[in-house]
Amino acid sequence: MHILSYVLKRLMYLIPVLIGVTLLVFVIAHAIPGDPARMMAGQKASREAVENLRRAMGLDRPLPEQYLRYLTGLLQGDLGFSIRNQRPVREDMRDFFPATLELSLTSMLLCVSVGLPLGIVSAIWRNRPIDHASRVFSVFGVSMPVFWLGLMLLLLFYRQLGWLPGSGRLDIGIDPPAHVTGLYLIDTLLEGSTGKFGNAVAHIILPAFCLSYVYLAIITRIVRSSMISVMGLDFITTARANGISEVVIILKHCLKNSLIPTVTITGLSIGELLGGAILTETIFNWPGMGKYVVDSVNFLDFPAIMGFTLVVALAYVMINLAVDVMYAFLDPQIRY
Amino acid sequence: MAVNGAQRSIPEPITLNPLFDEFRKQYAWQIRELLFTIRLLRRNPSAVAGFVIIVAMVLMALTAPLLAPYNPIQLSLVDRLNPPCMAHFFGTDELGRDILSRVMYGARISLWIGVVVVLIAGGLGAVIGAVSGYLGKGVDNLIMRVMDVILSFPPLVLAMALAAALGPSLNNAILAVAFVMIPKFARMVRGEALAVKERQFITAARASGAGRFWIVRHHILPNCFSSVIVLGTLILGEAILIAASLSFIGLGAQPPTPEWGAMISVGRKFLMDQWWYATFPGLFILVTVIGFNIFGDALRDVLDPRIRR
Amino acid sequence: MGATLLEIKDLAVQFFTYQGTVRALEGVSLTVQQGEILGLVGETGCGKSVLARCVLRLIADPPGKITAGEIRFKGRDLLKLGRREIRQIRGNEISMIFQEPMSSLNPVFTVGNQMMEVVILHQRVGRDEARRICVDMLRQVKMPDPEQVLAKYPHELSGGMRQRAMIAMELACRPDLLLADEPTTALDVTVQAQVLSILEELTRQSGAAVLFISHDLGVIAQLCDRVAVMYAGHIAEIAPVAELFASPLHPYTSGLLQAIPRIDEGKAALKVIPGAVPGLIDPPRGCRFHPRCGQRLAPCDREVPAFLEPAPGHCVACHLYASGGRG
Repeated sequence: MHILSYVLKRLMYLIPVLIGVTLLVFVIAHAIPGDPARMMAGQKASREAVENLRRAMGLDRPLPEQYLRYLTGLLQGDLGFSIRNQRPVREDMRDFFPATLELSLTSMLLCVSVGLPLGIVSAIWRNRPIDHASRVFSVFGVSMPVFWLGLMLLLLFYRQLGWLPGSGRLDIGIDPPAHVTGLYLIDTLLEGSTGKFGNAVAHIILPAFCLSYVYLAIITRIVRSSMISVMGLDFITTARANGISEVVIILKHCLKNSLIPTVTITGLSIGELLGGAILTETIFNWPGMGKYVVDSVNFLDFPAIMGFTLVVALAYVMINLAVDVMYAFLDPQIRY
Repeated sequence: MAVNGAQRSIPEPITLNPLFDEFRKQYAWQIRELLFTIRLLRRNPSAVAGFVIIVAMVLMALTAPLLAPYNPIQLSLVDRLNPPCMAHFFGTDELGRDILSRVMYGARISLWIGVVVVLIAGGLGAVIGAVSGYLGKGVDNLIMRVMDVILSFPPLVLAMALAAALGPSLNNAILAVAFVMIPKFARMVRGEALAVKERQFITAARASGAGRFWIVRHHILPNCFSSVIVLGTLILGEAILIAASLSFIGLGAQPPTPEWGAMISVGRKFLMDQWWYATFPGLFILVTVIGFNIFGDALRDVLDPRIRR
Repeated sequence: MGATLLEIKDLAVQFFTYQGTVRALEGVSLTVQQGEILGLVGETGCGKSVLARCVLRLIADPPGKITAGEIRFKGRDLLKLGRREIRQIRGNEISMIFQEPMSSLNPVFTVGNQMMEVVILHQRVGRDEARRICVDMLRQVKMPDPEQVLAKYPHELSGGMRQRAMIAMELACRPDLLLADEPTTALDVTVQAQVLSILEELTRQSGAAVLFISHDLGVIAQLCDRVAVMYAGHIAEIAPVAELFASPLHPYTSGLLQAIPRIDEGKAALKVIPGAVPGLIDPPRGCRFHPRCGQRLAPCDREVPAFLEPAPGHCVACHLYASGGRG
């Protein structure tokens, strides 16, 4: 009962933020130099054709009205029209989204499954070698240019060692699996083609590691520092005084308390992953939304760029809401 | 009228407005705190390491015109794509330019980007945060919502959209990154302003008739100084990273500017056979950002009131 | 009052910090008899909590270290036990309750979860039996609606209720010794009285001994059979409670008693002990109280006074009572 009112409260807070996000994207879109109507019509179109298009696109109306048109369009799912691909941005997104989703989820999985234990271990064996090693690892992670890391990984594992492929989701000769989810790792298994599955795994390893490296470092640090602060709290002494073993203390009593900041940061990192995906997908030729937007930038396809920006921001906001809800589950004190 | 020596009164020192005295006393205390901070930093190994890296990069940037072995934009079509050798420590690029020299000049650009971004974002963000925190209520609510909106975008994504809209150039990239960083400063300074707001000397200042903006400028902002410095150091590194990423995508520095990210972008084409092209600039980005990060972290630890005994 | 349950002999504890080594306890010896309530009184920082935590080996190493002494419980030296053995004793044969009920319970688990965890661990019973035991204990600490309380989170209970839940949890396994580290200091006065009476009732009933730590002499006078007075890491005096209040032997104890404002005295100025508690990194040589003592003798600043027994059951560490001094 309490959780519901908490969620509703968060939702209400979200609405102005969501509106603000659309407003900001709209304002940026209007800072773009050049004439969108002409860009759409093409260089060779006649003056009249451009004027007609301008009127049809509503570009001659006052700005507030344009914004309302934009907003209503958004609510109907209209994200703009890609100049490069000559079709609605929405369709482009639909095509490229699964690849990004697969990469992001795999990276997140990697982050949590390595970062959580590493952070816990660093906290337990504070100031011992493993802690120092993980702190060095963290500093590198936070300071690493993702695109450079990707290139170095390619140099090592593709060029020098030849262990892993360098681009794409599957080898060139292989056909993609039957489309169920769009995630090759799942679809190949559903289809039963283990060969393709292996190939897909080989292709995703490097980009996933590259993308996750930064957030792995962050998560490790957060887990470490929150575990350390929880381990010093009074109720841990109580548990110890009651004869509870260290293992149970760490895994039950400490962990649940320190999961709260961890989950928060993990949630926020998902949003940042969407940003980092831009660079990683470009390096590894991963056909996802990130690569799509970089190609759009090079082409100066502004509707696509703005559509992408908006979608990513909305996704980020939604993820934060989900994180807040999970917060309420983890921390009973939040539910008032 | 004095009766005997013991009772002769010493003339009272002329006290100006008690606020000025408070301010002067604050100054002396600040200097003492600064020296103490430096002493603590000297004992901290990561602070020293970070500081050394930063100084090395700054020196490299400042002395590039003097010490760079070659002119960074001088072409030499004969020496194209040479691997690292005695004549060219980092090799040459596809137009025969010496990569070491270009990397050294690149330091000037990256450090410049970092400093300008922090100055703009820090300056604007601190003022916005201080005003928002001090004024409170409706104004605070509104400003923080705006900051939330900006923070709803992953930094690189928003910077990219802005830079694309403004046009691909280094200055536009700087503005885009600065814009994205403003809320971080604003949020932090607002938090500090909220805390400082309740302290006695603020009430005293208001009682003496000081206006709101005067208070913000002379009382709130100085108290946030140290945390702004810490955040600024960390954001400097992040700004360099984002700007390099923008250049890599094609939205920041344009050729032939020897910006590290732009160099990697071109070097990528030659990665397989000419590994040196993309490797060295990236290495320098990594080291520089590491320097700022570990120094910033050490600074934050040292300035933490709990650790200062 | 029967045999000796707990015997602490010559305990010494040090903490290593950046500023230096803190000599928190030195030459501390005391005994707790079966079924008695022994009070441990002293100012903040004198080492009472450290002493209690040593018994259960709760001192974090680093930075703390038990450098000397032994702690015999039912004949075994607790300091020499292995980790598993000491865990079996904690919460089971020796329990501890802490000062801050706010923070002593894990906020993300229900009270029931935490209580049953201890019971299941030590009594090796199933969940239902554990639940029954917990409800029964909560009823004994006079908790309203015990079944409901099990499902509540710590922040949903008041301070007094939380402390009572802690007492219930710690007494659930029927320990022989309860270490109570200032359990009522953080509570309101009215709640204090309640909690103290519950504590006394339950421990008398079960025959458990209590080491009751406090800086409040009034509470000590009410509750305890015997009292030990600590100062700056040393035991100054141990005596039955009536005798301590009637005829304190150690100058520090007399100073403490005189410093308490009393209702039946006139409005005279409070008598304070001059000086301040010494830092323990570089404590005074010899008797640690000597810089503030009005009855200083020659050996006081050189030799640590031995623990003497000038009257039966009444021990004191003071050169005043050394043979040849005042009796």
